[in-house]
Amino acid sequence: MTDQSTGGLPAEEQREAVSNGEAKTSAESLENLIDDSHSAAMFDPSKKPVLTVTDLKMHFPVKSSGLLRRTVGHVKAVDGVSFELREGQSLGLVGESGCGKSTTGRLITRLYDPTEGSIEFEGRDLAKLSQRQLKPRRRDIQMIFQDPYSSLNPRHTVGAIVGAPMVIHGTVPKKQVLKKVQELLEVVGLNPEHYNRYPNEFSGGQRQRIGIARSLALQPKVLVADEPVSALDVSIQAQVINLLQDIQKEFGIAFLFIAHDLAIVRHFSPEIAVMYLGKIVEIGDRESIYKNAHHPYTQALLSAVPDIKQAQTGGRRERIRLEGDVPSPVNPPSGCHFRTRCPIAKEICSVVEPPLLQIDQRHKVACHFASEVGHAPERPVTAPLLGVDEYGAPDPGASPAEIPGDGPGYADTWYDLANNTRGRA
Amino acid sequence: MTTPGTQVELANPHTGEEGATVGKEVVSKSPMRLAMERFRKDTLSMISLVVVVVYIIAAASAPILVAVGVLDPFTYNQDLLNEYGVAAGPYGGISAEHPFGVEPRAGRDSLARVWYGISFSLSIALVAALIAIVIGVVLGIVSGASGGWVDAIIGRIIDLTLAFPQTLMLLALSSVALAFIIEVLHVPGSEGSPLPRFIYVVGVLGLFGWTTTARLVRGQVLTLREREFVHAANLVGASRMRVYFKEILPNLWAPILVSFTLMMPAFVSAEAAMAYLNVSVAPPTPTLGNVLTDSLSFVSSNLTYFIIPAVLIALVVVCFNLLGDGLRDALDPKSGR
Repeated sequence: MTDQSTGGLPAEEQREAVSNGEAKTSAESLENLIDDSHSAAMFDPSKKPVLTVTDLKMHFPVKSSGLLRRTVGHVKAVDGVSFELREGQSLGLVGESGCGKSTTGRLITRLYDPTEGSIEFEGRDLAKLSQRQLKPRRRDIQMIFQDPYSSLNPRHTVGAIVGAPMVIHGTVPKKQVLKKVQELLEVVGLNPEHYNRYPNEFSGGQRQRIGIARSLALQPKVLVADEPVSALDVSIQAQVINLLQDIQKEFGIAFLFIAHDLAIVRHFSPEIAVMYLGKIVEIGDRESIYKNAHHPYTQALLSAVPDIKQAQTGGRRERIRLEGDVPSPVNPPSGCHFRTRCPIAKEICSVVEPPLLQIDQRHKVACHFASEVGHAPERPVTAPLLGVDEYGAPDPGASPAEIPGDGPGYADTWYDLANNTRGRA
Repeated sequence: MTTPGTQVELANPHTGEEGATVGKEVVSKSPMRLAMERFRKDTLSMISLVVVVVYIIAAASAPILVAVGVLDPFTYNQDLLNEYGVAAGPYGGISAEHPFGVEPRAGRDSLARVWYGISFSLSIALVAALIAIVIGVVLGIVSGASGGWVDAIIGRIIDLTLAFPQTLMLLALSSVALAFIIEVLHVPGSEGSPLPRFIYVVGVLGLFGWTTTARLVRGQVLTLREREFVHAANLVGASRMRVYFKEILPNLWAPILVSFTLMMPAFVSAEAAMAYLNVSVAPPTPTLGNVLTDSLSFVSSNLTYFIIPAVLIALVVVCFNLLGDGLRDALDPKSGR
């Protein structure tokens, strides 16, 4: 964002460059390996939402030790997450370890039972269905797992692994399962003759392809990809990402792409949500997040990504360093969850929780002082909307207004930060 | 140390992402093959395997040999005994006709008695071990995979079983239990039939021996159920039974096999102990246990008669244990000795 460091200390600059060297080469090689036919996916607002998640919460009980095992607290792994997933589009979910992104994926696939909230899919609320009612719906939402070494049963053949969903759901007559398995293996770029081999005979990348073939077996409409490439080598990562893009184009599957690698998410997902401690702090299309981030956490996250293009021109962004650790999700900070590590936090942040405020056509941010780096406003932009004063105390004179963009999707009107007025498309 | 993955990785460039045909010199080794190779290198385990196999062949052949009349464990040979009722010849009456000598008092052939006894001892241990393994594995999987109150209840059942005074029950309830087996279950209990006592011994060993297997399996299941392939099965809506017995169970056969091989010697020696307490299968039907018990009264006058069953029991127990240890080392190379 600034190239002020070009005239800075050369020695320190060099040290920085060395420490970033490894990361830079890996990011660079990834860019090179993703060939031209697999350009970054584009956002298409004309597509209808296929999955709508509203205020989803997952609180895991913490039990006391001893005989009675009373519930003494809750791990608020996911604490009110809302978003929309559009037909054949991809939403990237990023955040550091333990922020609840994997839990969100497992809630949508109902591996966990949500504490609160709704998951609307084709007019049904999946969050309220029992496991029995859910079974016929399961074929529409499938998942690609993170670890290709633990996601395939070592005692089953590839044919049995890929064929199991079809056998369980009875979608394919028993005699044709093998033929269908071989078709799927071919789709994911494996030799169809290898159906009677065991997973241990394949490499990590090949195993992940088997996992992808299994997830496609029921022809799902939504695929949750839980860090599908983070366990793979960079060169293999690119191959798998290309495969996922081909599959998305060919079958029109909507992806919830969970990752911590911002370069991959940027390539794969036209829309990105940033999570911190169980909440979405910023969500928007690729341009809004990567070029115009307004949440201090997103800004810090992005500043940690090595940028080849800026390195080539000699410029370097200023690194925003976050102090301390992520607070415990058992007892998250009051008000804004990020305030304990936020460089621009003020009194209001500990009192009032910032709402997810829409600030552009497709850009929402949850911060009282939403702004570009180094331009934090003096007064909280959200205070007038919430009906509080700048310290977070209720302001009897103010009239609380409707929060623009409140809900899983994007509204037609939004709050214009520059003029403190409502904007319109 | 060779772990299952490493040699396979070496074979992989030939199977390549493009799916090139595998060259003949490249052998992809399954974890099973690797385990067998490790086992073959272990001399002690191989020796015990041979001994165990000899015992099994002996046990399987004994009833046939008795039926065709080659072995005769029941005929009395009073003429081979001296006036004190002990074998007449030196070393317990060893002769070409009776290579292990004859037993005191009745003069039955010792070789035939212990050979046929191996058959009964091993079949008691085998049936009891199978019962214990089935109960232990089923309860262990259900307990580990379902968790919550089911786990708690099964855990308490295990505790209760372990706390139960087995020996006391063996002695106090044996007559009641035998009457129950004969009267209620209508097992033919006519004079000399070993069946009711066989059922009693097997029942006691099987119903009290499953606890360690259940705990072992439960522990394994606790780690397996968090593996992603179990989530993947849940994700496609697999039934609980399918997850338990098709996804989890095949991954448990190594510890189950080891636990089975270690249970066999424990039950062989437990049978001997029960024979000493006079609750096992009774003479004239021989078991290693009751032959040994019988020999104890003649230790001073006929040592051979005592040494033979004692050595046979010790050998089978030691070799089964060594085999079990060897299997564990071969199947799970990560766990050190």
